Amino acid sequence: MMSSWKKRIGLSLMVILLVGGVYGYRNMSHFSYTGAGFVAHTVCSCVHVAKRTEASCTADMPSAASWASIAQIDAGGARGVRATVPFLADRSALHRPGFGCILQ
Amino acid sequence: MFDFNLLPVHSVYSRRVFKGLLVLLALSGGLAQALEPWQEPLPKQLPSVAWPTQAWPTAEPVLATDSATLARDVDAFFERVGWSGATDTRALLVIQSGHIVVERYAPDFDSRTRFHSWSAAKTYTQALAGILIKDNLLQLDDPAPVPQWRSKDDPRGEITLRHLLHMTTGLDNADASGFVSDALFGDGAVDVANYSAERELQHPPGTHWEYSTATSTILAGVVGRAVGDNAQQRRDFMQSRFFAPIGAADTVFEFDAQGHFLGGSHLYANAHDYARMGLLYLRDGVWDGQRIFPPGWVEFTREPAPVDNNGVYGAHVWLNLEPKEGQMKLLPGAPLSAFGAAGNSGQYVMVVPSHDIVLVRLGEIQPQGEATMLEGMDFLHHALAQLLTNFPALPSAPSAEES
Repeated sequence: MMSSWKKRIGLSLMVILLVGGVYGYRNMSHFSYTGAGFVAHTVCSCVHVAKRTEASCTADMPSAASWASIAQIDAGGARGVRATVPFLADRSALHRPGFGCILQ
Repeated sequence: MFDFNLLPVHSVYSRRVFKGLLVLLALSGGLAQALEPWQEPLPKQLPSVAWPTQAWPTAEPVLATDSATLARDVDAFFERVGWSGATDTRALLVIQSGHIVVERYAPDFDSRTRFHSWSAAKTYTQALAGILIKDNLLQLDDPAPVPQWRSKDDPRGEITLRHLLHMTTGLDNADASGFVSDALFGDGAVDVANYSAERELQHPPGTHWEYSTATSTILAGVVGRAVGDNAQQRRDFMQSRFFAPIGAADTVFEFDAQGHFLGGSHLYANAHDYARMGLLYLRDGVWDGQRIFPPGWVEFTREPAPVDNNGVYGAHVWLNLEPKEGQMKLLPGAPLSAFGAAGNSGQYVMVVPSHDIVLVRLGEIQPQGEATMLEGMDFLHHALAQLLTNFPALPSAPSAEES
């Protein structure tokens, strides 16, 4: 049978891991939310305002943005770009001619 | 003492007029030497040179060097020379006395490609504010009309349009803090101007300079509310009063979901249109006989913000004055009167009044290995300054040492 002090240490470690995990997740979530927003907006504008290919636009993205997957979208006639980080962030920017790409 | 009676003039009246003119000449010479760099006269468009409203006139460059040297200095922007990272210039223009004299693009880019301004957009926002001051719809030293700052005891009610333009609001929204990412792409993205205006004061207004894209978005909110209550009205204003009159109607300012334009960072224009913006400032805000900016606006633009820690910044433009320790000179070795718009990854529209030159460089900076973004910017500043040395100063312009 486990001694009580070992139980206390084990419990403390679990709490630390849980708090750290939550804190880490929240930071990662915030970072991913902002980063996916940057990718969605920048690639949307590059494709639809600057009229460049998606490949040339993604080549300009910083290496840190490689964790976001990019998809061209059509939302009710408005074309745009969606950037996704699995389990963490999902952002879209839609093009409105004359007004650029608008982050949703 | 000079005996004016010896002058070969035919009457006492003529001698008095001549004496008066000599005195005025002496005084004006003294005054010219006392001018600050931002007060130096701006060159005028020659009557024989067509305004580039429809198309840019082109010409062979008038050189202070030779064509081989010019070619070498242009190549430096497009080749991996002088720095370990990729220079990745995509557009390079030199405008001399109202003509395109150098124009080059990287493969897959041309004169129709719209390039992202990043922070060069700030100068466009400044221009729109100037137009509204000319219209008497905004006042430089009145409290900035920001709805969040209107309550009776709100200290932010002391922030004026001048503070916004000089980036001396004192608000806790500096780019260095990382706030800009949240505002543009994170929690503030759907309503950037209002999100940015919610920040608290860290310093009394007008006492502390801090580079802040959020400040430019607040300024964009002020401009937007002054001209209408929706994106269409705001876009119509900038098209009819700024872009179209100078032939830059292809320019696109991007907007957020609330209908405010992203005045600190998100404008797209082609290289010719960026050069048109530069020429407008070079010509003191007058375009083909039409005054776009109020009188004195470009001089105000070029004057450094009056606080001790100012980072060689004017009214939403970068200046070529001597930088503080640790800061980068805009155009090393060039006259102090040069100024310009600058954006992330090396977007530059440099205005050099002493040479009647506009320099436009657009593209990316892609550091590799140990190289950093700042090193890339430093490389480009030196490359632009080197490019400028190929062109002679105007005959009456002071040298860099004299400025």
